[in-house]
Amino acid sequence: MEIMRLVITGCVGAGKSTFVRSISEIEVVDTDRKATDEVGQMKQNTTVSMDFGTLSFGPDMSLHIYGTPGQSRFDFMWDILINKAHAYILLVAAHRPSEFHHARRILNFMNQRATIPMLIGVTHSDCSGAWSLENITLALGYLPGVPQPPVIMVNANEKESSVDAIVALLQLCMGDDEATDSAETDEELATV
Amino acid sequence: MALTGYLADYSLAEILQFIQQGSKTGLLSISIEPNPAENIAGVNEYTWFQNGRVVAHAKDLSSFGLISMLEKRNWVGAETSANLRVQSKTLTAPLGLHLKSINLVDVEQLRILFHAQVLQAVCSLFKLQNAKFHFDDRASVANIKPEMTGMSVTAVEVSLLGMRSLKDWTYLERKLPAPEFGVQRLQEALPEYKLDTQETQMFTASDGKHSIGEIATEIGISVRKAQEIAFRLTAVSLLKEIALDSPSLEQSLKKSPALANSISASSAISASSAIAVSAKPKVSNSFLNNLVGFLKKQK
Ligand SMILES: Nc1nc2c(ncn2[C@@H]2O[C@H](COP(=O)(O)OP(=O)(O)O)[C@@H](O)[C@H]2O)c(=O)[nH]1
Ligand SMILES: [Mg+2]
Repeated sequence: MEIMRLVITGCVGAGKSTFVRSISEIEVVDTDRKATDEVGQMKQNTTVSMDFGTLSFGPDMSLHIYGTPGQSRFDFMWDILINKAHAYILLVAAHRPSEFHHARRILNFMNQRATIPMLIGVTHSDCSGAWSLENITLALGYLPGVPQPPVIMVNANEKESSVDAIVALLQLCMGDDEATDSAETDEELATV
Repeated sequence: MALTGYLADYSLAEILQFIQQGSKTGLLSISIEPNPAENIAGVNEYTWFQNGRVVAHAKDLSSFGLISMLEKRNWVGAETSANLRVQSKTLTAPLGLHLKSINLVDVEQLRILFHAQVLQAVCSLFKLQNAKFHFDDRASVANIKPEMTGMSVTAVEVSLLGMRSLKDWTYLERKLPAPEFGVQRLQEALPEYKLDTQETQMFTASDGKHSIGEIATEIGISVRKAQEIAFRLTAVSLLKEIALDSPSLEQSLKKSPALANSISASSAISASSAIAVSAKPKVSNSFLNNLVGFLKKQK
């Protein structure tokens, strides 16, 4: 069984639970072997409040999606999730500038703990008082002209939009792979 | 695109850092609606920025703020002042520089004007916690020459001054870094502008390894004060927060027997391997391709 783990993080109200639900509600192709893993078991066996969804899309392939728990405290659960994650999405509610400071703190935390493909999904762009993607990117601390992750609009209430975000993240993972592959090839060439 | 909101949500410190980091030009308006029933006086404050620097401040949009300041100090006579009000419409340079070029004021006087008009005024804005803000980055600064001394200050420098003089931190409380957080310098040298003693001590102690709580003990200030100073220096981009190691999993397990059971039941997570950065198996390309294909079909 090959499992890919994605983490959805962000402040309270950003849309994590909705996002995880919308992805895991997608029709499951093959359910005779319900995929679960140790982190999922922890969720089932304890009162740790975190979102967890799975998407099995082949006899031996499953996508696991976790939403980070709680607010403000980065406890051991965060460490476990980051440690296990292959990629992550930071959701930021565009109409809540009061949370940008905390979103920036999460971003900082995640990037200090792991170097994995990530993107920023801006939710609630349809709400009044929503900031533009450009201004949110700046408010999160990405200076103009400095490399930044992809920042895309996501509406967690719409399945298609959540799917688009996951696909964009997977494409980053592929790009990541190609980059390493070609680096290896270069090295081989150099030694020849 | 204009930004609008309440300072209680997005603080002046954050706005000023935003303006500085984006090298923004425009007009920041801060206002409180008057409410006579509750004895609340109306407030209007206007601050102009050019490429991330504060260039002028006024309490109305008449363009006569600086001229009034000159009058108040008796630095210009009634006749000159009347002439200046007419000329101000067609100024091609900041009023301050114009006055200096015709020897009506000297550099020291310009400094005094700038201090009162910009530094003091912007610092006092930090007290306005219930005000509304509006930042318009399409507002032109071309027509505010009559309010300009010709001097300017970076947005974060004035922000630091403002936060330093702030007594009531309640509305920023939620944003203060926790004492368990570390802080790390973003540059080795002290900035060109002056830090006070405690800020300098905090800056020097911010090695990314010690927590804010530990630094507080080391430099002999309260933890709360250290949190405020760390926030201040972070908001002016001199420091960044560092998430030091979380309380160990073992400690957490002691507090939660249910979690401990769950973990011991699952083979893959052992208490020690959970925190250590373990090599996670890479997802294969065929997995990624299959998943993308599957998801695209869902739409
Ligand atoms: N209008 C709008 N609502 C959204 C969007 N994304 C999420 N929501 C709603 O925001 C609320 C909070 O979402 P939730 O998933 O509970 O956030 P969480 O705290 O991060 O888990 C829910 O009512 C969602 O339906 C969006 O893009 N637009
Ligand atoms: Mg939730």
